[in-house]
Amino acid sequence: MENIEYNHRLDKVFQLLIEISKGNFSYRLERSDKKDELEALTAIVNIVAEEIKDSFLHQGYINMHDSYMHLVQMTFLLNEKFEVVYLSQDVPTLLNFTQEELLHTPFWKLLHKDSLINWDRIKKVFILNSSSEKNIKLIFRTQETIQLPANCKIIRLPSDAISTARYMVISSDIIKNTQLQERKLKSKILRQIRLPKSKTKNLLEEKSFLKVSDIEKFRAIGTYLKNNPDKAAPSLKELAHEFGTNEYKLKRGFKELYGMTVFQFIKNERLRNAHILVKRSNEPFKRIARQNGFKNATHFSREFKARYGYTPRDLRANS
Amino acid sequence: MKKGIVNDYATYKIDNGILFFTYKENIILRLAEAIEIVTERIAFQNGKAYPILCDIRGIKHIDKDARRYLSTEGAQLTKAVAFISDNPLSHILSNVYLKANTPPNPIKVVGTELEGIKFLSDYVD
Repeated sequence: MENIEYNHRLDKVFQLLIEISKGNFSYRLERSDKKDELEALTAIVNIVAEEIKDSFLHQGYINMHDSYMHLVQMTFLLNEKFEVVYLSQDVPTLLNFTQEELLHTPFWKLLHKDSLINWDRIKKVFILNSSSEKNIKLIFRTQETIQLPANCKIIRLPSDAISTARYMVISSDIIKNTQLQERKLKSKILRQIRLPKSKTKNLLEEKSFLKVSDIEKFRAIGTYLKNNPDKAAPSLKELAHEFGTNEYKLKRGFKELYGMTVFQFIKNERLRNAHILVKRSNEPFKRIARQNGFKNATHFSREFKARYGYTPRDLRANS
Repeated sequence: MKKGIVNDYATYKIDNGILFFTYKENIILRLAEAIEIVTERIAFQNGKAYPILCDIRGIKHIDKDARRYLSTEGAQLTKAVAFISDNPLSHILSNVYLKANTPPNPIKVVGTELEGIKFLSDYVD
């Protein structure tokens, strides 16, 4: 018995890994209260899927934000009893149930048990007429019993719009839009080909010039700056030499990786550290300022206000 | 010894200059929980940094936002940290934390409370 259960849990891990290998990072495994090796494996596979998914959204590195788009994953229309009366074509693929299995079932049956309380609550809100649109994160069940968490929007439809449908649920996700990207590249290359030779420089400029070894250096610099907020900011030249790179690369590469300049980064880290101390301790501002590399309390207060829109004094008074 | 406190996620007490921080069983940490835990801890410490003995055996799941928060803001006012971990799940969670972040202060994963106290005793005022 023990063995069957173990194998079943292991199977789920494989299923998720297969989904990951296919490029689907949206699925997650259900966690148990166990603490054994298999549970540890389950946890780390979920973490890996989560990290990979979010790494596509890293905006600082390589300028390609516009190659992402919001994609509607699933659309459901529900009747007044919250039963599914229509679903989009993607739903059977994503949840791996057939259209017949999904149609005319109460919507809650598509959800994982952790989402049932939320769903009941939102249903009540709609029944009581207190809202006509709501955002909610729901976890869907799939045929393979792996989970599909999705950000959903529920909309009450005007009652004279469609005969039976009263509510619409849409889930959306952000995907890398390769098609769009390829089309763009194609038209750009075609444009370049037709242009005189001297203009081809533009094409190269959009490519990142960073090598893996450079990225590692910039990460190390970021970590160093984060961990030493009290030290006076070094000059870019010193910093670059300390970590075996040059000023030009540091300037360009750091911004590409973190989306801000070295000095913006330092200021950001200092203010973030200081914010929590202002809010949750009784340390004098003078000391907080010094510990976080500000010249004095006035300088600190000015920068703080510029970043957060209120002074340290305001924050402490309201904490 | 300062009186300890208990909230929904953990218990805190300070004993012989060490802050004992123990997560309750089957805790799921998302960003909101992580922020609450850190603010409570900082308030409890009243601005003073302590060596921290953190029993993470009760944590079931930490999501990405919570992981990021705990490794930045969450590392405030810690002189050194010992994580108590004695099962595969807490080993992997503490490893994820250690490998993905380079915390400013010494951190060690230990198997028992005693081992943790021994490691932290060097950082007591």
